[in-house]
Amino acid sequence: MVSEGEFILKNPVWCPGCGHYAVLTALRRAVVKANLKPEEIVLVTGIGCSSRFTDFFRSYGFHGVHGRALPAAIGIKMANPRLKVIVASGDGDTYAIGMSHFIHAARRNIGITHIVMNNQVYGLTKGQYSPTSVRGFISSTSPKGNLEKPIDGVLLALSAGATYIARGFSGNLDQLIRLIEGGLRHKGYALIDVLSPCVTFNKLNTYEWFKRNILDIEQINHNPSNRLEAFKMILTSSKILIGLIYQSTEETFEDLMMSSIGGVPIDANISLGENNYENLIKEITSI
Amino acid sequence: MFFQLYRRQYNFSLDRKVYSLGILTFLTMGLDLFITIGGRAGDGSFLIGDILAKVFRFIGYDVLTYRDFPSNIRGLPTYYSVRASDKPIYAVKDFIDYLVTFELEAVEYFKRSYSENTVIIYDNSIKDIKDLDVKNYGVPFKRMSISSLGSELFKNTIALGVLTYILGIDEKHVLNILMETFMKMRKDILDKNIKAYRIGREYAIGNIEGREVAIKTIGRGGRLLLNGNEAIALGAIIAGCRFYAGYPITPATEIMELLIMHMPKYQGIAVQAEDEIAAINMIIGASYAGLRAMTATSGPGFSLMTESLSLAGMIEVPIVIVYVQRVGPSTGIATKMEQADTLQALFSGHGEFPRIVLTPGTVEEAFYMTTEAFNLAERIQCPVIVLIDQFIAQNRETVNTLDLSRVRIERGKLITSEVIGDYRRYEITDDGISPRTIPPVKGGIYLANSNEHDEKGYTAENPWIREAMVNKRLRKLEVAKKTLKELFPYKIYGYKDARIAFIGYGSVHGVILEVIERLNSKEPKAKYLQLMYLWPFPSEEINEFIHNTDKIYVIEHNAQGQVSELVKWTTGVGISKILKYDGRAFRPIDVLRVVENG
Ligand SMILES: Cc1ncc(C[n+]2csc(CCOP(=O)(O)OP(=O)(O)O)c2C)c(N)n1
Ligand code: SF4
Ligand SMILES: [Mg+2]
Repeated sequence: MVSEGEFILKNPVWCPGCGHYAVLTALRRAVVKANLKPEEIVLVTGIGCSSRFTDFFRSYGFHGVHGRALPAAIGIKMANPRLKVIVASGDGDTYAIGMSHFIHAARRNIGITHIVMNNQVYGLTKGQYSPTSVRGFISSTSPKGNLEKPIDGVLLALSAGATYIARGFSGNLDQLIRLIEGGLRHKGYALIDVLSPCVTFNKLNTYEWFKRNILDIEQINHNPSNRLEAFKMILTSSKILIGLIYQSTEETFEDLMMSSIGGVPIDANISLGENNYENLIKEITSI
Repeated sequence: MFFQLYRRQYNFSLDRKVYSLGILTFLTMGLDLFITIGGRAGDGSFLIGDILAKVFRFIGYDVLTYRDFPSNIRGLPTYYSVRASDKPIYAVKDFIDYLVTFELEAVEYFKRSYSENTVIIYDNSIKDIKDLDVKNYGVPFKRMSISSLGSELFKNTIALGVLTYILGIDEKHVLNILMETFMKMRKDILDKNIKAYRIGREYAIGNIEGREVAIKTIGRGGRLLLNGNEAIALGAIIAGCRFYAGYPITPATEIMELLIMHMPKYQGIAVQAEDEIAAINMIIGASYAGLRAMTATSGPGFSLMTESLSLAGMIEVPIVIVYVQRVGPSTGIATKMEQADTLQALFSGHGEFPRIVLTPGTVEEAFYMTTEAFNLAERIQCPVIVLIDQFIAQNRETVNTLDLSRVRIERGKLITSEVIGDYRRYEITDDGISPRTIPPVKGGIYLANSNEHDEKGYTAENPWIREAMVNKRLRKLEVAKKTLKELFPYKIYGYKDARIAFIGYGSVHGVILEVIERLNSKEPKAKYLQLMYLWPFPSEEINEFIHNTDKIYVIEHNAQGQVSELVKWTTGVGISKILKYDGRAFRPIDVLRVVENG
């Protein structure tokens, strides 16, 4: 078995106390538990403090542009569904600039394990409000308090058709490892939204605040295979739910794709001698 | 002296058999027809245009079609022109020989395109046109269709019967193509169309004086009728492209439709993304994972892609982008041609990175250059843009049988088996190109990093690494320059020592060929340099070409002369621009008139 050390490229450098440390640790442990090797993983990130994962985690890596980690990851997964494709991104990266890709990844049910480090603020650009910041949140771009309502990635994923939806908390490492491992083992798109405090720019949603405001759904009687129940739980809970909220088994994009094209694209033989293009030419040129 | 000669030729050319081909054709009595079919979307004028094009191709003629249609689906006029000749043709003709129209407004619309020899055949079901000083026949297409076939749907095929009789095309060739076209449809539709064709033909025999032209079969069959979008889709699959992502946009959509239809047969996947930003990032991802990957778009979509164009440049992932220009800015006119995004294709994207911009001038070139685009992308490890416009993309022309032995697959420094020892994806090399692994190759782990990075791809900001990496990436441009010169040695048409020089690229290629043929028909006067690629900019070639010339014309479909300015910049000499930006193709005469007036 591969050890956790194999996945260490560098020691991370975030602000001391940043929630992202725990997420990185959890990911390293989860890939070990899921029996993965560094070569067969592609870790894809966008831009943000959270997206710096690719500088610290040893595997094939793709550090793209802000908000577009998902489409790049989708391209990788479609090309070679045998790869384990993981996306690590922030709340800004995912729920603001990359919002549409998030919804479309969920509805495609493509096999990507997506970890969103949700600190309800833009960390890397030094503290602007984000789409998950609560109303009234004070930041450099909302000096008198944020006027907008926050959005809930978990609720969106549920309505968009995601088949694995969990929420973790950086202050709860064991559960986080389990949730990520579950995502890695899941067939289809898996969202793990992680409450990952930014200790520097978000003085409101701190570890202590979360401890007071979260409710572990796994401690209460919840059936994660019931979608309606999941909606009801999210919409009626006065606290932020953590744990596995929803999971179902559905055909994945890559399965449908492989059965429609008869294999894996990366295995296609492209050499000219091995392909018969005469019919293709005939079909395309006969208007 | 020169202008007099030219005028003489032009006067000559009013003889209907001669006027667009000049002296040469006059001597050989070639046949060269330009037929326009007008109607409203839904009238079926495109269908009979296609049939006509196929008939001419079948009997061995060179065919070039030109579609002039609005960007909505129904209601507005659409025009389909077919030029057919027993000699090579490259552009639309100056004047219409036959206008067949279901709508009277076409008669007015084309008034600047009539010569003494134009014949108009219009639908007079509603009314006759009086006082037309062009030879014309009113034929009740619509009425005949309704009375004989119970619906006006067949008026187009009736018109085909009339037209092909006048042209003197052998009935069996038309029937052949009619069968081929309608065979896929319901039997009664085929029967009704054949009946309609016969009605038209009988009508013409009884009412229209004799055959105007007798068209002989000239045994040059076997050629293909293809447009640029089709050529590019074919080229991509044959070149081994196995991933496509795109978002529908006129006039590039057909490429995606064709690839979604055909790529799966070759174990490839073509997908419709949620937008162009997703599309380009998907192909970057697929290419990172080892597939040859492509997207196609037009101006608005390309604008969305530019951020990630820089990403591909930075992480050195090979991608091919087909850029089909249309009229801009903004939504512009979606179904019309323009070359006003040329500078955007050359210079868009933040930061400095190598790219290659290929500019095929014919459908055939679009095919071969697309196949090379994939080699270039992988060999140089950079984005390659195949830049065409709506004219090449959507107009069909006859193309010689595609020669697959001319296609090669070269994947450059790609590593697909285990790497032993220290692997550095962005190794600083002499030519700037570094070895490229793909997951899950053992020992090949690296980071494709949009941040400036070291040789392994890990984020690095120190000044010497930064400088070395910029230099490494830009060194690849030198390789690109050399490679392009070998692949596409620049072609000079006309007389090498001519004093009048033309420069052009893309969709103006054909019109310039016809222009210099006419200019040179009496004495050697003109030459033409076709720019097959615009980036790296072919400065040396241009400077060499314009040496010892008196007048340099750069011809473009845009309002500011984008490449003209680049030519000026690179040569330091005065350039005359010949520009057209009304969304319609240059006719040779448009260019000749400018040349004539100095
Ligand atoms: C196109 C583009 N716009 C803006 C930026 C600047 N930018 C970088 S990261 C970021 C926000 C990051 O916030 P989040 O995704 O929440 O990550 P965090 O830093 O909080 O972990 C922004 C706006 C950019 N890199 N690219
Ligand atoms: S700014 Fe916030 S998110 Fe970024 S490293 Fe510091 S604590 Fe973490
Ligand atoms: Mg954030």
